[in-house]
Amino acid sequence: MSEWGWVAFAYGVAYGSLAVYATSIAIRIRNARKSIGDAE
Amino acid sequence: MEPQVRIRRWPWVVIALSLAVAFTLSMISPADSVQGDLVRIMYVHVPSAWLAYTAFFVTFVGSVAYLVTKNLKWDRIAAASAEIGVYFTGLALSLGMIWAKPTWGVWWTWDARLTFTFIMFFVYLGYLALRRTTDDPIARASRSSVLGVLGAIQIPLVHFSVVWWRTLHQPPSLIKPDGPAIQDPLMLTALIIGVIAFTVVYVALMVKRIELIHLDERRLQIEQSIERPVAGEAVTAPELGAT
Amino acid sequence: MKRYWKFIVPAGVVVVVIAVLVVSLSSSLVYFNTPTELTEQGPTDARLRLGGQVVPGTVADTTTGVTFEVTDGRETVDVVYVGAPQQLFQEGIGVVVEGTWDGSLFHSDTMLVKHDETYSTDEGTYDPEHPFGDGSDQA
Repeated sequence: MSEWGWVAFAYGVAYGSLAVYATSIAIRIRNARKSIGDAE
Repeated sequence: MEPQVRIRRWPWVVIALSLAVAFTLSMISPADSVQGDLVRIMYVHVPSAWLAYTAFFVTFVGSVAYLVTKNLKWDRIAAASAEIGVYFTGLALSLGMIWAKPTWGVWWTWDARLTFTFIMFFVYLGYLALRRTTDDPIARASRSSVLGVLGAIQIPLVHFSVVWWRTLHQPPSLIKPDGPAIQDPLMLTALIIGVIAFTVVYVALMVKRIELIHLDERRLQIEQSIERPVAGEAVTAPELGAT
Repeated sequence: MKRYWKFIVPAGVVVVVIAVLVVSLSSSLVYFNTPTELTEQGPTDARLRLGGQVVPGTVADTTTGVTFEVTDGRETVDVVYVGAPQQLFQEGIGVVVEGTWDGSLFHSDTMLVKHDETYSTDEGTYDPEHPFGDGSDQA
């Protein structure tokens, strides 16, 4: 793999996982609000 | 009833903006004379590792403050920070491996820095698991804050492992007694801005994660207030007659 | 009393675990030996790691790999490496080689490149006028 290939791999992991983690918090917040009847 | 949990939207905006700045800088900064473009991995790896330390240090502070004040507010901070810290530790480990393969030649090796980081990752996973052993907020807070205090011993152990033992992992570049070992100003800027941007992301994630804890507490409160009459089913309520 | 145990038991466990780890692993926590240590200790049967800098001008290709000298600034050890060198392998760079030491030659089949903590750009290629870098690689 080329140097840029490794860089792309690393940045994909970093920014991809950050997006997934942030989304997981957002979804958990939405679900919790729904279940306590807090309107969106 | 407690006041409604305030839901903030600015953290998402702040996360997107600071990451955009950090990303731009890491891409326009120059290549290194030895490792070439691979140096760019440092601009995400080092900030992740820095946040692993910071997050677990905040867990330590929250745990101590809880044990002293018995105020659950501190336990929430400790808990939120531990989860984010585990995420960043995992990220630092993964990015380190992706960098190590093309530079060192191996994905992983058991040198002191890598070994202690690996152990720290699992100790804080254990912290998160410990928190799930009970729903009782007081018991949960006092158990986990003990671990939150003890686990923090590992922060200096991980950080100074590269100084105390001979390791394959290089010693710190940024915080050195005689100044950073990075000569190029653009490289240095990319790294420092990366650290700042990730710290801002950490703060934003903390705000949202603590909101979630408040919501979960409310949910539990409501569930328990619904379940409570069921527990007394065996006892028949006295009939008071129609009004 | 109960509250104290909550602290003492986990604290004791953690302290013991860390003590056992650090004491029993203390020697293996040292990732590699230096040329000076190898020269002083003499040949051993055990497989070990040697770390240091590749002495410029000593790298020579062989049919099966490459030979070079590794130094820590005081002593120098001759290394016979069998296999394809790592991508970043070059004169002056840090390496950790794994193998056996017969007292005069270090026979190795595993090589890791040790990157140091300094970073710099190639002067002239990227930013010829930057004020701090001298463009030299300190590896």
